Amino acid sequence: MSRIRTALLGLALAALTAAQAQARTEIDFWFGLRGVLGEQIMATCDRFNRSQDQYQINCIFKGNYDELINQAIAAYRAEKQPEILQVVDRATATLMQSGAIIPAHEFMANQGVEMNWADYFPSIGYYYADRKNRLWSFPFNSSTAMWYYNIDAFEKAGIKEPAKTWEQYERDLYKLKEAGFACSAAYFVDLWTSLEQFSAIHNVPIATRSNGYEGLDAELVFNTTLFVKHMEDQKKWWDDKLLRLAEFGAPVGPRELFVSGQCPIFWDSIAGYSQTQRDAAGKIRWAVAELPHYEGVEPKNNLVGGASLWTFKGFTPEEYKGVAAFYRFIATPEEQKTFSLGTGYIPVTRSAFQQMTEEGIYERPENKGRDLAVQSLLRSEPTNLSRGVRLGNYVQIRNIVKEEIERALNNEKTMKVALDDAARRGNELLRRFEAANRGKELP
Amino acid sequence: MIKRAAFEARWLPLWLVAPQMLIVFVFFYWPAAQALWWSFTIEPPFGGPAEFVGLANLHAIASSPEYWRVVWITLAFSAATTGLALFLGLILAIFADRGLRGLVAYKTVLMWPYAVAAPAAAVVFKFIFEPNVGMVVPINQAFPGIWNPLLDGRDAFLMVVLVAAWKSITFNFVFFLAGLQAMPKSLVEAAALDGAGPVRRFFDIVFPLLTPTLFFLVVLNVVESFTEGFGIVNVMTAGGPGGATTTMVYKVYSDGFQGLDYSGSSAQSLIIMMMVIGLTFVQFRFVERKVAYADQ
Repeated sequence: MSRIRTALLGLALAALTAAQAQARTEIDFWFGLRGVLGEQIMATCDRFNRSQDQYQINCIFKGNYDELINQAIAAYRAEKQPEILQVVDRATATLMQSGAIIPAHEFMANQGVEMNWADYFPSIGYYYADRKNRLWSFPFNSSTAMWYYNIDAFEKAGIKEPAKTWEQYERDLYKLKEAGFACSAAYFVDLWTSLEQFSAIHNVPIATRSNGYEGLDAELVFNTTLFVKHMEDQKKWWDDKLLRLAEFGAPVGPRELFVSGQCPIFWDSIAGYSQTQRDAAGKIRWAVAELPHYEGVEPKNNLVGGASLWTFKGFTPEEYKGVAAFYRFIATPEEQKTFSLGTGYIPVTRSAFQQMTEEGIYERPENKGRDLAVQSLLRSEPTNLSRGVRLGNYVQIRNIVKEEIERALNNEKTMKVALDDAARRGNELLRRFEAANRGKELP
Repeated sequence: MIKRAAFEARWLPLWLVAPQMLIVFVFFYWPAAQALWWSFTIEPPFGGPAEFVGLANLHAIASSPEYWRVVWITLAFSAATTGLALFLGLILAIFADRGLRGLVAYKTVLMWPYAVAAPAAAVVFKFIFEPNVGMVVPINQAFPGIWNPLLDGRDAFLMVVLVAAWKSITFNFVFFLAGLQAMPKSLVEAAALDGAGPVRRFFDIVFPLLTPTLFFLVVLNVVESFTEGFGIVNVMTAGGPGGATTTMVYKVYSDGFQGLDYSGSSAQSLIIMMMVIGLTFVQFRFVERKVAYADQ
């Protein structure tokens, strides 16, 4: 008897839960991160679903950033798009011109939600903002470029502190070689660090029209700036056998070379902090440092990297309320802290960063140097050239620049010729993007 | 008189082929037609009004020296892969045809690589050819800097050719072996009685009789090298270093799926389609004339 009663009770409960679940408004969120980072996104979604009972967010992994945006485009064309899409930084211009999304500032205004937009760090906010500094997407997983060094190796080579200038960095590379390291630094043609961050820090343009922010008629000019010298320096380091080639995702990547003690330096995003911590445990002592700058230059802020959240058109007001609730949820300092500590990404608002600093989180040994990433984003007020890059077809332009630099490293042409060729080929793609958007203005 | 099995009803056969035709239409002709249309427009990724530009996309591609570099790389890749895979497949088949002990075991083992998916094979070979930790390290230690596919375009090209050929050898081997075994033994034996050695017998009798198989394999290998090479290139080199392994198909993927330039990408696939059709036509029109089929 009692067993039947229990079973009936169970059925009734299940029906009740199902009814409740049905009563919830469902919203979809597609993301493109795997591993620890993907798990943390799923955990965020679970916390949101538990925190209230009106909305149910379905977070779905759709492959890497490229696969993700292609699936979203196909879905949008078939009118099956999700409410929220994670989009990588370099596709910002494409999304802005798509006509498929609701700008973040407009969306929140429609929802009648007062947002303190100024709470976002300016260097993060400006990257995703239009010409009037209004955000078009919600900064989500955000990072910036750093370099990691092996403390034991630096002591052995007599290097007292991480280099602040590229001149010092170069001297240290040679010192490491003299100290017996076959590889002073793991290396690959890393345009995020070498081109974008470098140009922002040195306040030199990648393209005219404020790196494309002011118009689709921008032209690439990186082949005329200090960037050329920087790449020629990298070529010299390569020729002098100070570097060893290793790309992320290769059988032996830069991090593996670093934690095994073979290469005392590698460049990576601050988002690689947690992974490096895990891999280096018990092997080497290490730390992170801010990117160097050339002597005599007043360094500007780093650029933000990572992805932001975009809202698709085509849903009901009720669904959009759920979307707004989710955006508010992830912007809370508490959520920012949990996500940041779980992944290595940085908090994106001043209030969250302040709270974390006050709690003494960055003073704990396991978080040493994590705040340097935030500081490098706050190094200066963003200038017209250190706000970001707003160029169409930018993914392909980057592929071309990388290809040309590799040919220079392999002595097929000089670095200057390679960069001139890259700018010429890249400009063809910019003109193509301009033609595809004829009659449209960048917001 | 030839017996024919024919349906009396007029509509039944059409109904029976309809599902097949529908599948072919939906998954082949429709996308192909769409791609054809996109080649003549500038298609915005998220849809919306597309501007008709006529031949401008094709003109932009044809007038780009970088695209011609990609075409030459593709042709070289195709020729090298096909040549290597056919040559080695034939050699292996000739040896296997000599009736060695344990032949069945050899044959089975030799067929295995064909069952390995191209990207899986590429992952394995990426480790093997890694210049610092792979199995090639002893060579690099003996001759420092001789092998570096991470930066040297020629090494990278050689590497993808080797892997693509490795994938096709077994397929070719199976067909060559079948061709050899179907050959009338009396001809070879008669030649042997007349005093022809094995090499002479091969070039004067076996090889001419094998040309139908060879021709069939050349056509298949060339077409496959255009399409299947993608999985290997994508995993091993991503078209690099310095674009040295960017084949036409890889560029279609890269421009279309990474760059979201759907029109440029469609125009390129149109070019590939024309090229494969053209090559196959040339092969049938001019090469096949030299092929001696058994019953002619």
